[in-house]
Amino acid sequence: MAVSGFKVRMLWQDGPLAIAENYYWNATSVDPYVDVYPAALALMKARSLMMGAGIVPISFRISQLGSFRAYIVSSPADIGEILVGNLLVAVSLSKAEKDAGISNQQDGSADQAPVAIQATFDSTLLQHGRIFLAGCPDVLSRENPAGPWVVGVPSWLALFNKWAAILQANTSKWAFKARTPPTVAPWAPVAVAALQFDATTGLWGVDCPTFTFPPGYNQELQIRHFKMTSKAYIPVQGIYQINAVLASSIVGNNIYQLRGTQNWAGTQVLYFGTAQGVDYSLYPFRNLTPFRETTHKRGNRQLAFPGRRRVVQRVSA
Amino acid sequence: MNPNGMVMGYLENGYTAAIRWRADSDETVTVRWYRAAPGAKVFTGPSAFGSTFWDDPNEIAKTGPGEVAGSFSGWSPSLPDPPPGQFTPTPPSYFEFGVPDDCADEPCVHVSGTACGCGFSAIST
Repeated sequence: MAVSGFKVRMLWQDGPLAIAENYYWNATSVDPYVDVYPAALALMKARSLMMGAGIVPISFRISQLGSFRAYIVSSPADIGEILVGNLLVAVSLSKAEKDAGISNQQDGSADQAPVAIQATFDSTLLQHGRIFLAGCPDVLSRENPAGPWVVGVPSWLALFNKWAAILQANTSKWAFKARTPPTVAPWAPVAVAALQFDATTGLWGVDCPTFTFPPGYNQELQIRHFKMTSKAYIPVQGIYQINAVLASSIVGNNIYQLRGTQNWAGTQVLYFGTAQGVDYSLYPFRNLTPFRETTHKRGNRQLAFPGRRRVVQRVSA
Repeated sequence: MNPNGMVMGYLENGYTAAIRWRADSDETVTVRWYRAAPGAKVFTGPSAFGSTFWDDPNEIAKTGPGEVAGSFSGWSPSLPDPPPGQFTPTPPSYFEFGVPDDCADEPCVHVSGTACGCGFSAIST
């Protein structure tokens, strides 16, 4: 079913890059300025406190999910009140520091500084997930994990717990978006009996047992476990939008014609796999705890389209 | 309809894309996102004309006023002399619901015949 509620996209500036995080408000609202906006501001304040100095809160944007768009951009006056941590993030060293023999290299690890902390959580369905907290003060996690980070706060963990408490409060409507577990119909995979090509549209369709999708379904199917007669052929696996639903000659089946399948080598399939509906839902956070530092994933950082992302400089000792 | 240089969103680069600007029509016009002038004010009211750059294509509405998903048509340089962005003469409801069909208002047309839609403020470095 279609996800409803509000999406809050928060944006921080980290040098030439940006840190962007999404949070979902799983409730309706008569006036988002009254409930969603102050909640988003409080959450962004708590999140900002976990970041290192030099990282600047830029904005958050509230957008309504569903049938109509309504974007609300945060007021600069509100963002101006947000405090960011007051310690330096020692990711790179000056020449003088290097000459003095100071190293930012971790013991026994690659020459990269930790720049994100993984936190784990689960939902009411016990699906485990991870969130990457970019902008973490590595100088704190590596050199002084006990803090203090912000004056008056004993440790970074206290700030993390405050942020996590907001997300997990019983009265909170904060949620994360995840794929609906494919355990029951109509989201469970079904076997594909055949492929059919439509010469009019040039599209391929999968012939499989009829799905009974709920209203508002986003009309997508995931194709999995197909095997081609040769690896030279492009695999057909993927998520496709449904272009049309056609009648099948098999009783109880329909043919789901899929968009973007013009280049399928449909006649070169060795055996058929499965098809299943794709659906997303909002789930509450549970058991949100820090897990480990990471250098491999730097959080959700982007400012430009993927083809124009800047290369992140790795730090050498 | 004219944001008149007010900040409508935060992006790094300007680009051009199509928007549906009428409340009850699929008529589209090409708009350009450009860098807002220093000191430009943020338009904080509800607006259907935010950039879809930050949106998940599965989440945004496929119909109604606003930027047409997937209509990105190229990167665009900023305006050499953007408006100061202190106010917009357009009624706020137009930004939320689109321009009424009985309104003779037109999207403002800028240099090179490009329709100028929404100013944006890039993150300063």
